[in-house]
Amino acid sequence: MLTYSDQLTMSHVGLGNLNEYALLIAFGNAHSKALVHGLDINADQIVDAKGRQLYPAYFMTHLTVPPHLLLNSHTLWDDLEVGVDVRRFGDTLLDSTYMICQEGDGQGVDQDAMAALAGERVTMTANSLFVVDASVDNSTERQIAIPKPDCLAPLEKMAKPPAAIKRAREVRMAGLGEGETMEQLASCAPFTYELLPGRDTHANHAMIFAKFSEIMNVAEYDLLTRQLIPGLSHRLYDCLRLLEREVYYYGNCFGGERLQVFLKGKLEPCAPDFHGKNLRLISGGILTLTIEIYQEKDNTLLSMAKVKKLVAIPTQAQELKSDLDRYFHMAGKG
Amino acid sequence: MADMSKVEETINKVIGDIQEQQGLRKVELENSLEIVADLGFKSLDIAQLIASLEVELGTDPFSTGVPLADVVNMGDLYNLYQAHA
Repeated sequence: MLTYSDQLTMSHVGLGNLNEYALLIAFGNAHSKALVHGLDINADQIVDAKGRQLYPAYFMTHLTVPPHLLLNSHTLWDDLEVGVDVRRFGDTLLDSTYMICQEGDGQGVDQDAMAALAGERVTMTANSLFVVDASVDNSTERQIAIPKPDCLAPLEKMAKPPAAIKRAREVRMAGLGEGETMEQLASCAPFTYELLPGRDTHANHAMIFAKFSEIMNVAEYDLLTRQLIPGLSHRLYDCLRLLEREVYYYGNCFGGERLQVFLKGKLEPCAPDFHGKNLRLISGGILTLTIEIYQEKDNTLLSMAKVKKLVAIPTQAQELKSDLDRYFHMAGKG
Repeated sequence: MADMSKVEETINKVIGDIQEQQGLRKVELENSLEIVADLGFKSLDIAQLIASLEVELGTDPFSTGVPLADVVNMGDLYNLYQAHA
């Protein structure tokens, strides 16, 4: 297991607090460091027997945030402790667990903490596969690849395949609604997102995994503030805080391509102290969404996800709770 | 060298397990069947196949530098693991 200190700088969060995208990138960095830990190379020097550069492509990420420790409680210039544990199944499949905590909180992010504090800390489990972007018939095709043994840190081996392989297939077949009534909120038309080269992608590179969550957030904003009638006010929307996001990645995309995002879900009341004892917040409700992303050009499925968010209303803005309650009343949930 | 039929039997079982788990069509396995084109195995299935065979047969020919591209059909797969058994 690799642990190290990391400070939240403007490179991570701009002028704001910790957000989902910045956290995913931080975990991605931790993963890359762990793969070459103890070797005198960087992650971009992982190659296969032919000398081709490989990289791990995530096919599942599951981020969990405890309600009493919301991401935005970590602020610019905070010192964090980051921990990552990577194991492998065979040569190409990776299984990883991540955790962050405030440095100096006395508990750390060691192996025991990973197991014991999973529900108490910001954690992520993920699975990835080593791939190479190979040129085939004038196009780029992602292919499974095997790293040279001396390019990879010694990683603990797993005896059984990661459960996410089976789960990914089940999700692709049956979705992530899992029997819940998810039709209360549904996009009347797909949200279209155009990938701008330089902003969303880089030349000759597929989109980074964290960008999927960011696009889901943009589509969620559109659904809740523009398609919902009447839509959530921007101030109420700003109260949404991530609790959980489970994502399955079935394909990827490049700059210039257009994506279609479909959402459905529900917004339900919750206990006002759902987040714990912090008197500066009032828990107003739980938003649950299932999200699917497709290539617009040919309807290829790229990703499926389920997200849960808490409407965490600042106590000094309690009038927003009335707005939310009015929404529940209209929706028959009050 | 290990008993060819034992190696084949193990490979066939692992492939059957993956086909079942992934909902892939099951066909009678024979040497000429191509793993990608005929069995429909994707990257994730191939990764799982190699890793499961390492667990079941205790050997991983690909870690010694054998290129994945050398294994196209079932016959290639049987021969490779037989040679490294």
